[in-house]
Amino acid sequence: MWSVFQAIKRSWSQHFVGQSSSFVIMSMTFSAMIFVTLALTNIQTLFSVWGQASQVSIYLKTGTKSEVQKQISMFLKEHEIVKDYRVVDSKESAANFEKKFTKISSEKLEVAEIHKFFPEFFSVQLNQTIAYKSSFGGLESFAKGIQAKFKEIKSVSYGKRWLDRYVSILSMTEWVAYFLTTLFFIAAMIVSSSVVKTIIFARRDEIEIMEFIGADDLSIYLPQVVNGMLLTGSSFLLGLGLNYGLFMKVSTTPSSLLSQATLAKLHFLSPVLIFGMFVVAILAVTLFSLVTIFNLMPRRKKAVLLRGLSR
Amino acid sequence: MVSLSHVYKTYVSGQHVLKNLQLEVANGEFVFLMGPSGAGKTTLFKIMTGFEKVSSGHVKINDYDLSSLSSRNMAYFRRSIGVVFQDFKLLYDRSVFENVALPLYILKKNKWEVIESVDRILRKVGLSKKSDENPAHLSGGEKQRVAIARALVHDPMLLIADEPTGNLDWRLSNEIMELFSQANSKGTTMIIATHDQGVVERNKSKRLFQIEAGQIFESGGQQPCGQFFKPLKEAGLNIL
Ligand SMILES: Nc1ncnc2c1ncn2[C@@H]1O[C@H](COP(=O)(O)OP(=O)(O)O)[C@@H](O)[C@H]1O
Ligand SMILES: [Mg+2]
Repeated sequence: MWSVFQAIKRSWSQHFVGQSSSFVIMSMTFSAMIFVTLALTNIQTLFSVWGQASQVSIYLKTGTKSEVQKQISMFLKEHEIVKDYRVVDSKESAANFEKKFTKISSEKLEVAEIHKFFPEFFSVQLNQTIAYKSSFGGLESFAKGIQAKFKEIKSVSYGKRWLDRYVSILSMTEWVAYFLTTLFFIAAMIVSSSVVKTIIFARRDEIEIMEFIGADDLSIYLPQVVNGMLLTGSSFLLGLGLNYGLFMKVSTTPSSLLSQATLAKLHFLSPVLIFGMFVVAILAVTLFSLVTIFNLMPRRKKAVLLRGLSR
Repeated sequence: MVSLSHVYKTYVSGQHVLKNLQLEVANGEFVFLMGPSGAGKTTLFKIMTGFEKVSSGHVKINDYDLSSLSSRNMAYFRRSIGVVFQDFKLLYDRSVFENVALPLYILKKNKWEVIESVDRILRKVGLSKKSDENPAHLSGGEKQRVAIARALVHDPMLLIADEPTGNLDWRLSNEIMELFSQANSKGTTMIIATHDQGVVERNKSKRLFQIEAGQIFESGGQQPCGQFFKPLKEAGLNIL
């Protein structure tokens, strides 16, 4: 173990620029990767900032009996997707309309009994996590289901076009994020194995001499593998730390873009996910290093190793 | 101890560098190998240290069959021998002391054993004062002595030296030969390549092989060695 440490120390003192610049590059890459993953896990929360996707209006036919209204109320009360609801009667919606109208027009709206032109409707607030499940499938089946159940319902409106666009942007963003994460990850691995490659290449004379004297492969190559693991591990942790700092800052500072309620919903990566990413990174860098080392070996040695493995 | 039989070596060019080479060296022998430049001495040594494969034939050293060693056993084999390379093969990123100590580190000797052995061998080759120098700052002769010290520091079973006195004046080369004789008398088998006629003249009592155009002859009779001497050797006779 001591000799591994010594060898790593030596390679740091001799390849300081290469080692430290790859540390910086890998830290940047891991930071970006973790950032994208973090954004990905919070993507629904962040997107829901945009709109009233969770708002559904259920319009009733004119003259619907209050008995039926009660039945619908019961149904809504029991449905898991419904968070809250209220009845907006025709007078209220007419008043709302008038308010809006006076905002955009200097004329006064003078229609007698205008409220008769407005239908009564249920304004329903949805439970987001259920409604958003499987790309709003929950929301669609809720809308269709309630319409089929009560023939007094004229229409259910939830901004379908808007939603479709929302869903496609969401899924596209998710794909881009997955793609970027993978790309960053591969980049980090390539950077790390190129350090291994550079060092082994620079030290090929030394490696040959050590072999001549009888050093075994483990003691020759282990320091380089461990070095790659250390580079990966430390830059991952640095990237994680930076992201955590950023997350804490953002999630505790309310702004016009992110309301207090939205911030409360943001969450950092779970320990399991972090640990998983860390382990995968370390395993991958080890594999990359081993492949690099094998590729750099003289053909004669490759043959001996392959023979040993196949035995 | 060292047994090469029917060894052929061909590089990509297709020309045989070694042709049906036979060599038997018993435990504790001291052997000189003479031959002009390009005769195949270095190639032979590379084969004997496992850095080149034979094209055909067998090489057996200390019970290790070099053609079928795993990479781990090859490492063990190399720890049991000492090699002085024509180009020294020193590490220029560490001191003379650390270069000489390498075989001991690899054998996992403890710190005090390392210091003691390295100091002793450096004194013998006359480099005690240069212990902390970087070998890059040494003269050719000094580098050569570092290489010799490194090859002998762990009391190997077999020492293979490729022109070890090539950079030394006759006085130093005598001292080195003296050192080799001492190691030999403590049981290390010696195979030393040289083209220095003087060294051989001064060591008439040792066995001498001539290598020429890839073939080896024991000096005296111009017979390809091996077939001729093997029966005598097996009968326990060493005629030189
Ligand atoms: N790696 C190699 N590839 C091709 N030819 C080689 C190689 N090494 C040595 N040779 C050739 O083999 C012959 C013997 O070389 P070498 O063993 O170095 O001789 P010596 O050490 O006796 O001077 C020379 O003709 C040399 O050119
Ligand atoms: Mg040579």
